Amino acid sequence: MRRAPVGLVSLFGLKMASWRLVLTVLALFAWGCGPELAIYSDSDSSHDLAADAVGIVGIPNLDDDNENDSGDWADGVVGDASDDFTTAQVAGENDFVSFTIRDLAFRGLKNGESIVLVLSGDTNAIRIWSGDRVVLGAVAGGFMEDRELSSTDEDQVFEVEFRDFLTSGELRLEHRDRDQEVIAATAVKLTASPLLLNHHLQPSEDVWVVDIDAGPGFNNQQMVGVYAEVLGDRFIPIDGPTYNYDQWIQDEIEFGWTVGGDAANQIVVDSIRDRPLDAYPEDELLAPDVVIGTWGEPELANSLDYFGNLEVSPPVTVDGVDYPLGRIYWGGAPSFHPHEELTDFLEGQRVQRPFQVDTTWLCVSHIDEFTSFVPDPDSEKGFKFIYSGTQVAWELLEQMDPGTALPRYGLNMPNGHGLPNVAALVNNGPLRDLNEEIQEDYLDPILDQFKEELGLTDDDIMLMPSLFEEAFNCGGYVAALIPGMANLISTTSNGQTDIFLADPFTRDSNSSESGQGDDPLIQHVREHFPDSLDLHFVDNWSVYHMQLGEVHCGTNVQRTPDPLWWQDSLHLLEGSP
Amino acid sequence: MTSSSPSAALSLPLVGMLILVAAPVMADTQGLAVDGTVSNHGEVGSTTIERLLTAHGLRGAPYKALRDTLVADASLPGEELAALSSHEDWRVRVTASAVLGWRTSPQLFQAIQDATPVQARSGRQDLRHEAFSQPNSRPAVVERLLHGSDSSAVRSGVAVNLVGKGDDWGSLTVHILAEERSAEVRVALLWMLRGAEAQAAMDGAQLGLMDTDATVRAQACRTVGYHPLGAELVSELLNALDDDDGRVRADAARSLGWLRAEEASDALVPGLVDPVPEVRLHSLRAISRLDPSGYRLVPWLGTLMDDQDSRVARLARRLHDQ
Repeated sequence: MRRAPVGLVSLFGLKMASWRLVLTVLALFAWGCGPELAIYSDSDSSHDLAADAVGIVGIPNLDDDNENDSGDWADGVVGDASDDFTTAQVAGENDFVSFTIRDLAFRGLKNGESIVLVLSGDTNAIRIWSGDRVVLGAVAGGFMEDRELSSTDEDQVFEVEFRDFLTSGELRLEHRDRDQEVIAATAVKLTASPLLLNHHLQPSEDVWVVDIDAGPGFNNQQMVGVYAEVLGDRFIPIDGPTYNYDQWIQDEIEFGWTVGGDAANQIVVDSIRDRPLDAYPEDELLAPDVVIGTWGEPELANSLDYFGNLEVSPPVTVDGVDYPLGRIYWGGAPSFHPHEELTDFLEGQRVQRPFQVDTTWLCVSHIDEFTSFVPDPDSEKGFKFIYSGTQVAWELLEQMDPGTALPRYGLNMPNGHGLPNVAALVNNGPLRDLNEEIQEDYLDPILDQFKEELGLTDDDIMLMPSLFEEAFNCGGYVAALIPGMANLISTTSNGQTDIFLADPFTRDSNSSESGQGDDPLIQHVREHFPDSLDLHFVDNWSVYHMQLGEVHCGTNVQRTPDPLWWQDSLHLLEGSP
Repeated sequence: MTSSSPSAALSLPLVGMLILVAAPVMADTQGLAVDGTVSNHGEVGSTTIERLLTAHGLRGAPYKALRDTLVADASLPGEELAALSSHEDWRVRVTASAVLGWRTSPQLFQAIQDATPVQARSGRQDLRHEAFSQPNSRPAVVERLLHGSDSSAVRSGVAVNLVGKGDDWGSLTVHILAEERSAEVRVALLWMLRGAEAQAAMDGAQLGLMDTDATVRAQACRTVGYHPLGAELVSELLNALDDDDGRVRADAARSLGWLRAEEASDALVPGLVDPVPEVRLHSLRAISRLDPSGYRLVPWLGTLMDDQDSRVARLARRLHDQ
């Protein structure tokens, strides 16, 4: 059981701020003056937390630290009445956030006066622990809203437990007279972390790809080899046969976090997709401090519920509102969208305010097929938005010798596109018309929407050469003809960013190992991507591209969370949900 | 074949047998229902076939039993099967090729028969076993398509492996299309025909345009639009503009634009007020391609710029601004 992810600590080079808050009551005795209540933070004794909107931030206790196949919140209380506080913290519990009330709170109390802790808000979803006992909040059979504290000469340590995402309340420390009238009080907000989904600019930790080798015509061995070489121990190949060659690890799970105090839980959002990889999270990822959650009904799943269709932008500012954790976006349409149980939940998390764009013109309908983000340390915003563009593809192809053979494209379905050379592309009238329609009807307006939703300017955008074609057996809907290079993976570790993207094979070569330097599309991408990025064009043709996906679809990445997200994101939680 | 051949006694009945074996090929389900209807397809009368079946004890037998009997029949020489592999009746060809293939490349046939599909990201079922890429795999692919017990989705994935296998893959695809019972597979076969030689593509598209299933007719419209010789079927596309199904009308309009079928300009105008947005969109764009002057569109653009479908409105505004 870990307190916080090692990567998180090492990356930021600081110990995660302790939520050992000190609620110090300074009882001032002076002529005509009663005790003064004030709440101070441990880390800054001059900082009055009562005036701070942040308060105490913890995480929902959703994991299973004692590994008894039951969530720890449910394990927490064994008593069965509101006055029975027989309780038991589970073994290994580490998801609480603590605060201290100092002995100063009781000095100078006059006869009959008392110091009382009062809990309000989600009182049935918060527990205040003192040692192994719940003293406030939820207990079996009800909840306790206030408790008089015993006078003591020692500091009293309490811990806060939250039941769910964004559980919130207020903890008041009241100085009462003998008639229980409040003489003075101070209050601290209590907030449980929302689910925080990762975006591409966060430092990367582990990277997963399903390892498939079903012969020379259907394998991803070159791609797996590049990942292993570049990422070393951070790369985790998943055995393909074990999971029935389900190569779409991106679609199965989405990684996120809850972070609060000095605790963090990894949240694995398990898609309702339920193809063979469905078992992988439980098989390999489930552990203390890891929560696997599913929103939606598997029997209603469609392609839009797969997590290639769930992405997060880097931090942006839109119309003066900062989104330090980025904004979630997914593909769909008013009548065809991801399961509302999930989208409603994500909207309710508020700090990464989601939006939807139309992806229903695509056969697979995933947002990752034509959008992505990469770091750009030299730019004002720190990133580039990678977006599919058809015109740039035509321009590059038209500059090529029409007779240039394209061996990969020349293969017949299901291994290729039946287009043997450059001429077969550039002289293909219907293909041009189709891509003109896609550009005008979808790509252009969707790009306008991204600009508006994310506050982007043209300088923030890099158009990736892309062409689409009608996909086989897909009702006229389209998929990538040129392997979708926008469908990429960005990993950053120790300051080094590597980009893994599809080899477009727009050259007379059948191998990713040869000719990349002569490939005009690769050259174009290298020239336009930020210099600091190390690009790896990998062979994803048979296992991904011809199966209607690309590198991002076949990869998943765990990333390091922002350890102090609340410091600059709390404004997004203010107001009504 | 001649009457002096050692296998002459088998030859004529054999043709009938092969036809019979192939006859119910489009069944969605496994097994054969042997009945006299096959006599209408071949050159052998039902009486002969029934005598043959009775003699072999195969009346009512499933395909596999029939095929295995022929594979094991030592009196049936490979030369004769090879000759029958180019017989004028496509059913004789595919069955003779399968029998011959099982004799000469049983491992390849078994591999194709046993291959399990992989799911594309869309859920499409693809067959990606190496055996499907072998140059001599066509008879096995056809056999699985016609006689396997796969679902329609898997059969579609099997079918696409026919593309480019043999010079006559297009005409073979049309033959199969003509008798295929599954609309899903017919759509797949029509998609494949986009890349077939002209005659096959147009024959298949004509069949598709007359199909009872709207998804098939819509795919046929697209196939015509994609094919370099699609202009041969402009009149059929014009008829499709009046189809009951909006998808068909939309795809017909789009293909007419792609084909630059100028004669279609007037016929496309009613599509501008079609209740289906896709029809309005593709009609508008097709007319703009066929009539760059915009003459026909002028009276309509004002209304279309306010269309409830944002794509239509955007396109209308661009055309108006031009």
